Amino acid sequence: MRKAMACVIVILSTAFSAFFQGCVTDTASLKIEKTMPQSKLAYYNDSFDKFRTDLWDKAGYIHNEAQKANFKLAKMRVEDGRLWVQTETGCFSAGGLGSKYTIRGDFDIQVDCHIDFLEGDYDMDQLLVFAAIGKGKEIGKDDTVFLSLLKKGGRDFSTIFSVARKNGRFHRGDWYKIKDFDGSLRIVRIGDEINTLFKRKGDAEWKKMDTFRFTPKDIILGFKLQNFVTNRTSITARSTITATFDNFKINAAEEIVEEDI
Amino acid sequence: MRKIEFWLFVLCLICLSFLATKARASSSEAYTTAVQKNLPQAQIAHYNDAFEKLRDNIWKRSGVLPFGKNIFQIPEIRVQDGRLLIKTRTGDFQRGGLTSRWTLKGDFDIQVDCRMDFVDEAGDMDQLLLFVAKDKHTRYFTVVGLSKRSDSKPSIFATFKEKGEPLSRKWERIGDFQGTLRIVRIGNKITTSRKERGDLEWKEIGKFSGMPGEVVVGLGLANFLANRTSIQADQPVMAAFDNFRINSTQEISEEVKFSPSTPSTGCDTAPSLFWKGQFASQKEDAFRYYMEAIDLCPGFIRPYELVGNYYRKKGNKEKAIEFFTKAADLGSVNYKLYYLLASLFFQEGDFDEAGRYLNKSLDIRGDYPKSLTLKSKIEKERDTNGPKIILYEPSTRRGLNLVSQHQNISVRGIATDKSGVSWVKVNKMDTPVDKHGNFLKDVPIEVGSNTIVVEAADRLGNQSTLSVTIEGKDYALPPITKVEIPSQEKDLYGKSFAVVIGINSYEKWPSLEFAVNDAKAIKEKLKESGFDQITVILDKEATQRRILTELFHRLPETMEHNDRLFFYFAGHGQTEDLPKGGKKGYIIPVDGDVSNYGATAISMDQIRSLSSRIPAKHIFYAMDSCYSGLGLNRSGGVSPEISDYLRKISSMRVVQIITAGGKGEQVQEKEGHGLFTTYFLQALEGEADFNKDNVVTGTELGAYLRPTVSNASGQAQTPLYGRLEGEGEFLFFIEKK
Repeated sequence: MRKAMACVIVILSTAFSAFFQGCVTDTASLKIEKTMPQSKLAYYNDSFDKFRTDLWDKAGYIHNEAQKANFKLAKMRVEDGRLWVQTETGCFSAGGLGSKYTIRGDFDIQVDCHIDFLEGDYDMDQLLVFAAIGKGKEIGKDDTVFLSLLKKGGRDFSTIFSVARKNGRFHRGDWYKIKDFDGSLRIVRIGDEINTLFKRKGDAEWKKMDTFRFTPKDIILGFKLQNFVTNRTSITARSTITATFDNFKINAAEEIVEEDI
Repeated sequence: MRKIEFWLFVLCLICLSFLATKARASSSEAYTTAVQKNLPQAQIAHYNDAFEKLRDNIWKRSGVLPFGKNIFQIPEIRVQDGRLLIKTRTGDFQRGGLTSRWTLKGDFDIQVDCRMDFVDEAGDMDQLLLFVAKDKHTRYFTVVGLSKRSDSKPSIFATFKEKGEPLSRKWERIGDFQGTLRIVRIGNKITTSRKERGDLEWKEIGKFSGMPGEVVVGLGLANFLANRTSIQADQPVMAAFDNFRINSTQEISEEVKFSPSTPSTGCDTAPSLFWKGQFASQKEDAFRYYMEAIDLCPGFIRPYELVGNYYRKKGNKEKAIEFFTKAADLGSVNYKLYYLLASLFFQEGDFDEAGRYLNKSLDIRGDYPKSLTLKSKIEKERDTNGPKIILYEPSTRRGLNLVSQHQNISVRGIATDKSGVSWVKVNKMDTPVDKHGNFLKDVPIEVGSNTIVVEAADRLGNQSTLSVTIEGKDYALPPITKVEIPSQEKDLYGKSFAVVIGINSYEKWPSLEFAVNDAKAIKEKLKESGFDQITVILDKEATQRRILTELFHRLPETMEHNDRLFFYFAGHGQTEDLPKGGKKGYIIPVDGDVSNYGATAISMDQIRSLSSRIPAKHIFYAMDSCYSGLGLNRSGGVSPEISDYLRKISSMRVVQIITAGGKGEQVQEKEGHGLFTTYFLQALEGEADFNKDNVVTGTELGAYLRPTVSNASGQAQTPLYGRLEGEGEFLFFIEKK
């Protein structure tokens, strides 16, 4: 009888284990073989104890004339060992950081972030983005992968999704409804495939979102918070939105190319 | 008989057809008659639009519908020949048009003329014209429109949606359309109808119920339907709208405008141009974007660095140095900038400048390999001797100077070295040195023999020393001589500028209570004192960029040599202990960081450097904040007993500074003002006019405020006063008493 019970337990636990593995990512398959040593990569990791002007340029990109006419950079500060970004009210507002260096070849990057979405209807969007942006083409016509958290104005739900822009054309990936987010976002490129993953705080495993075919070339990486999606042309923005970023890490990178200045 | 039956049948058909038409006509007329308590047409007429021009006061450009998975762009929207034309661009998802800035409440009846000629064989795209009534919370939608999916046939449709999901939909096949679409709401029931050109009667498209609330109206065009996942869009889609009319409504509400707490500035949008430059495929395009960013925000450091690098790569060393130096003056902490400046000067054979910039680079990042390599190259080219020191005052050739024990003596001279002078000390006291090597220091003299030792070091650490002996004797004060008082300050100054900054509400630092009050009080006092160009910057406006832009861009461009500038700052200050000894003082702008003030605050080095760009002959910095590391010279300047004293000192350049206290001291407050500012205002009332000539000089101000504020605060706060350069005196003119 005991043997039978033990067998049932083993079978059930094996089945459960198999099911669980099916839900999460086999991160072993995302291992990058050709990488710089951690001793060199460590310089580029940022725990946001101070603002590293040697690594980052402040970002805040505007997409159309309506946004340009009423835009304010979001407030950014380093506090409690995190980067805080808070949008302004009454206008289009965005703020974040873009790397001063480029990464060439395979890479594996991640950043922790935390956003609590405002509930209810707002005449603004709530958008947090982690992106790997191909260099050498104008913005809008570039090759970029975005891993984003979004609550669009008028919607009563928020999502996590990833999307790839290739030659300016969007290729939509998967999306899930989420509530607030406190966890890590990750982008891994191996060869001509780029993967997007996320992990909520406390989760043991990464959850894979998408795999896109991506032209291998130099990329700038960045993350930002903004109160508008690309094509929004009017805004009220009665409230600020706030997000924090922490522990940016380059887990692996084939080559990091420093700019002259 | 059969003929009679036939004709009776025909007559019946005609009658039925007539009755049906009549019924339809009366039902459409019923829309308007059923809307009770209409606003008068006089009130509605303002919102009717014949599209003679694009009226931004009643419409705004938008995506029209907020739902759908596709990320899309707004199409081209313009008014032409008295019609609203919307045209999609090719190669992309496009949807948009106009939505109303007003809302309709209660029952309403609206219509719009439109024309849509569908593109045949459109290929991989759809064609969609939209007339939309949506509740302002974007939950419910009524959409009347014309659609053609890819290569299928066109149709006219009406649909009712909740959160983007269709609850009901009516449609029928149709060809190209030229006519009028209409939406009527009575209670919560919506009726949609159409009338094609030439028709007399309205034809119903669909009826729905369940749409409550205030309604926003939209007119739009799209080249995709909601479920399309990819698009080719080889051809544009075009539609025309005209004669939008509100036939009746119970109420119209105007959109409440919500503005940012402070207006956006060029410095908000400049980073977007910077990033355009970063991703430009052509270097010339990138250069253009960076220059536009500088035009928008002259205090934005990063574009100067990249423009400098653009010139460096082009081989234009002069322009490269110009832009790199501007970035350095603005306070860049980019170690690569200083390395590149150093390498440019090294190529020019200017090893002193190369060494100076290289030290800055290594101060910021000591292990930067390129800087370390360049350092060894420079050291090979440089000297091993200490600076050459020449003393002007006291002159050793004139022998001993007789001074009282209460008097100071000014030690003035020049130190020069081909590697650049690093520091000068007089009697072990740090002494400021200008870029030419001039130095000036007050030294107390006691009765008896006094030895004055001047030490100097170059940037490589080579040192030299010069000493001189002075005999101090008792000295009786001379009687006060009458000095010439100018009839008015205009005799001595051209224009009088002031920049007054007060920050209570910091983004990251603790809030202050009275800084803004202080700034406002100072402004009023300056007005009374003859200042005619006063710029007041308070709280959120007082960002690092704004202050630097003022000092770096506006003042140097607008001021002239005979002008004076008074700069007042009430807010936090900070002192940094430098790793190699010494201190560096900062004033903290509203967006200054708590830990990283090196990059986000404004240092005394910057203030000193920016002062040299301002052509004014007299500059006075009054900082109601506590910090040290000013690098001050407390020389008394020219003696007031000489004849034509005011004219002499007013003709000599000077930059003076006073701060409310030193490192670690707490600013005290009194009666709604900071203690320092309270006594500063009293000083300008005449309390600091020691010789009663109705002029308060910068030195008098320092001599008054230092003991007065120190005593009043119980020695908790002792102002620091001194000169950053020059021997003249800043003059405040007070009313005669």
